[in-house]
Amino acid sequence: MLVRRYAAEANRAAVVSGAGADAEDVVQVAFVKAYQSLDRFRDGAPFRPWLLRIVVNEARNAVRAGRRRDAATERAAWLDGVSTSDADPAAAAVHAESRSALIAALRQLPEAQRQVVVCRYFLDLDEREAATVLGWPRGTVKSRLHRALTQLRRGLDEQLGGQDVAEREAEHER
Amino acid sequence: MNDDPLDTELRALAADLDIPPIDEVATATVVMERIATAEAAFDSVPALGRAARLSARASTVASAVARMMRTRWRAVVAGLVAVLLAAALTPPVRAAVAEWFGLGGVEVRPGPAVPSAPPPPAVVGELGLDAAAGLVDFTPALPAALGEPDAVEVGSGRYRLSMSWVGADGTVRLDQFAGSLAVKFVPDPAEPVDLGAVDGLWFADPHALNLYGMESADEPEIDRSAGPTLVWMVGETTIRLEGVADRDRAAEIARSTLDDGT
Repeated sequence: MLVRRYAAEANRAAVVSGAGADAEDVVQVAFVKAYQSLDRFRDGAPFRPWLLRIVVNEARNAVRAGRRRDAATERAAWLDGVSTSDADPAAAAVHAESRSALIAALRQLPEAQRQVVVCRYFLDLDEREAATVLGWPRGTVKSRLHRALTQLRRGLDEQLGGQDVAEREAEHER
Repeated sequence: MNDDPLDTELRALAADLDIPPIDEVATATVVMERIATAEAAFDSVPALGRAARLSARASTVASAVARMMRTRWRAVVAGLVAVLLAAALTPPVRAAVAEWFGLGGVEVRPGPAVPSAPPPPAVVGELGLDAAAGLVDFTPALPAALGEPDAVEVGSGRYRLSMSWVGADGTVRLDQFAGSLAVKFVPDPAEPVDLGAVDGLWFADPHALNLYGMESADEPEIDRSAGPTLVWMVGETTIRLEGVADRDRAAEIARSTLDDGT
């Protein structure tokens, strides 16, 4: 059944959209809404982005729906507790530093910019799919993603020190 | 783009995200129940627009399905209801609605007719039936009517067990799996077949078949044309039998998996 097939992905989308502890409920409500609006689903259109759009909107509603005093912090709470998966401890230490810098930079992004990064990287959607999920024109997806990545680079720069980043990037290119 | 360290870091972070797991089966059940509850609201609206009527009709079916979910026939009935519903709706809605139901692990979607299908591929495997059965999480059914299979194979991810018999009339292939997914793109609705304890679905026409692994929802493990196929369930296990062109003979073979008490 479709619900079973897409439940895990819908759950991931709900979590990275900030649904937190409500993710399960958000997923259920999203599937019910998707079911009820099936007649608005264009035949032949890709189903996944269509469904994820409903999930993301539902997650946003859940965050907005009160008792969240600090919605901005809440929206990015899923970034807590991400560890690195490096086996080598020395590499892990270096990586942990850039990882936490990246997470800090992600937290500082304006909401719309973080959404587009979430869609492209954490939900693995292409530009067109991200446009469907977010309900934005493709050009907006492109420009906001560009701005978000620029800002993330700048954020990383500030937190790690410009030279350090330049060195790491140079090393990476080698 | 892949040489960009930020790009690499973001992808690595995505892979390391700690996403709490979700119970997919429980979610499916709760969703069906919530749809059924929402049905009452639709029914109480006096003037329904076309869209709402379609939704209401779908909800009525969902309600029936939600009730069935609590019985052991649930998947079979859901499949049959989906076929009936599909016939009643307009094509675009039909396409979407049909995606929501299936028989056990088999999902049915409207698709183009396939002119013909080659005989099913014979299974290649060195495994004995007992060894293969030990690799999967379910107790495989063995159709007594066909006897010992010529070969047995376990799919990657160990969710699917396949067996085949190669005889004078060609190859007969049987795939069984628990909790996983095959998608059939069929030009016409399948016919229900009475198997005694359960009902099966008979897909008379050649059709496109995608069989998925548990890990990858996007890339099918098997993607080919399939000939006439009978699908049924033994307990929680979904079985598809291909290579028997005669519906009654296929039903006889299916019944022989149900007789031995599995």
